[in-house]
Amino acid sequence: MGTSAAASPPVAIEAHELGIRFRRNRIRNRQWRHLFRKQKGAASSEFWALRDVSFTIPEGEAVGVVGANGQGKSTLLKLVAGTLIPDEGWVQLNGGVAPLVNISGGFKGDLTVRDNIYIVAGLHGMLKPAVDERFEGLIDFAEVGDFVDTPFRHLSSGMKTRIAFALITSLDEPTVIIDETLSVGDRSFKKKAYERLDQMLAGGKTVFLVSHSEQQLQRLCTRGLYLRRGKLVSDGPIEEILQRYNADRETEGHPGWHGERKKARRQRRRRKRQAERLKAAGLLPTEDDVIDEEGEGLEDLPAAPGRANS
Amino acid sequence: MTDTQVSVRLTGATPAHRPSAMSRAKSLWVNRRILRILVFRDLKVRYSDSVLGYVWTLLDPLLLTLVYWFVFGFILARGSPEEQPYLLWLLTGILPFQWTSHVLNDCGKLLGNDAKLVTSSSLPREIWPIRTVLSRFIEFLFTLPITVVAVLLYSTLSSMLMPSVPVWSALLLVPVAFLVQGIFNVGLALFFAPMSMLYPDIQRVVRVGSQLLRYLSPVLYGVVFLESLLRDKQDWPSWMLFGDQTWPEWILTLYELNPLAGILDVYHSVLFPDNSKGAALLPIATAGSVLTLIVGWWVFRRLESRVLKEM
Repeated sequence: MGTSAAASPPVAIEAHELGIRFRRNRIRNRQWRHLFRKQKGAASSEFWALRDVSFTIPEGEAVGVVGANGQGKSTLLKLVAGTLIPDEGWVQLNGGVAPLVNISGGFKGDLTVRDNIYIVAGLHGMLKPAVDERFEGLIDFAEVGDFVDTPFRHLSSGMKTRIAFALITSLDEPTVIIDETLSVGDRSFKKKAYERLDQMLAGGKTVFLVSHSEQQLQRLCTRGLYLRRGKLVSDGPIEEILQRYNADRETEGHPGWHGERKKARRQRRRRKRQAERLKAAGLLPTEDDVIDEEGEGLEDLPAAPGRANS
Repeated sequence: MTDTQVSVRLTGATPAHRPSAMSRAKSLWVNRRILRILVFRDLKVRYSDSVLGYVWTLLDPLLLTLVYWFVFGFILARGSPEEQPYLLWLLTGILPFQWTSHVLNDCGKLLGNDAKLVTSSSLPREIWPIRTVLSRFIEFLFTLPITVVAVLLYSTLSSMLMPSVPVWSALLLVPVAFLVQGIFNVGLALFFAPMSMLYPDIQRVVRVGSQLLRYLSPVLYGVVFLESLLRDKQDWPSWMLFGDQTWPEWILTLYELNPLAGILDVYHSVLFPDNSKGAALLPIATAGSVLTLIVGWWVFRRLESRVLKEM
């Protein structure tokens, strides 16, 4: 095996039967005796957000994760980034990661922009000479030239994200992890940001991207992973994956989670009954509203409980 | 295949499912530069914006000491003549105790405060409690000039009052006591930080606990004094005595099992060599601290994954 591995490019990210479960109930309702117990399976109050997810990403490949809301995309990203610990299986990375997730983490409002840049760059493993070298370019890119010695909390939120984005994208790590929820400010900066991202990725970096934007996925990725109800249902070229995902979306709507689908159906039925009652009483003006509401119930299923932040 | 993967990240899960304690310790060592940056950032944040800055670091424990001095030294007139000057006795007890007390108070928020950083970096998570202990330690070192100035003042103003001033051999033990107390503090932080993240009630328990600890450790009085108190029962009111008028020995043993008893006694022994047991209690304190660290680390590793899911 060792000789064949030498021929193909080395592995950047390898996931083996990854699984993680979350709880549905509140902390209050948990029991003390469960605190230290090692659990093998999931209790009835738990659900697997991801299970049996295995894949191997060779160095230099750009992979996009596709799936509807609440199907485990962000959770997978966190597992790969090492900020969640799997309950089953393992994930292994070679070399460092530039995480474009929660990019403003580590910045302190009381310190100046300059101090913040040096400290946060250091926290992500950049050495001082490297920061010295990039400092000017970074400030220019973030368009905060006049505020270098201003306390960070006095900046506008746009400036803050611009600085954070500029800093994380100048990290020299071989793997880049990007969350689609990344917001980088106004339209003109967005354009600049994507240019910089392209520049960053041009150097043969491994990319792990989670996104809803078909355009973004097609532009940045060559391979896709399709997640549905916490399972990796297919893994292949991005075009095929997107086709399959779109086909699924059209036929089934939102996949949801078992309990939630039932609940949503119940809700729809209740709403329909209510509407009929209102109509009978002559309070409802048109029939179109009712249909609209039904459609909404299908589209906007709530995210899985316990993961409202994702 | 495994030997081609040299720079495997040590956090998260590796093929061995959970990294061993050894590899965790190793990855902490690898990340010591980041630990230094975090401590440096803490200090910088603490002193960057307040006008008095460093003065607060001095003022805070100084005022506390003066209040204790006033209440216990004057109003209650703490008797033991060996603990005079009482102000110096208090300083050598309260300043180090504040280190542990601050760490305990920080436990509740040390993971939550930096949640964004914790959830965006794959640093070994033990780094957060350790960083708090270290930055509080440096703050404690910054308060030591108070003691030095107080000793100098006492020895110039009235040489009569001074005990046989610093015993150098006892001073050599102080770094050891720093280390033992540091181990104890890291153990406490590793234990309580994830617990109070999962159960916010723990935070209140810790706060009350640290108040109790202040009186159950030799801060205001010495271990030697307590020993003599337990042996001579003449001065005691009758309601405090058991039938046979002896207190069981295990009460004292129980008291000395608290690592802080041995640690604080070492600090006291520098200025009050005749009124402390010196290094006698240090082995117990070391054992207790290491045990705290082991239990704390075990709890931390066991709860880590759940804490991350909560964040």
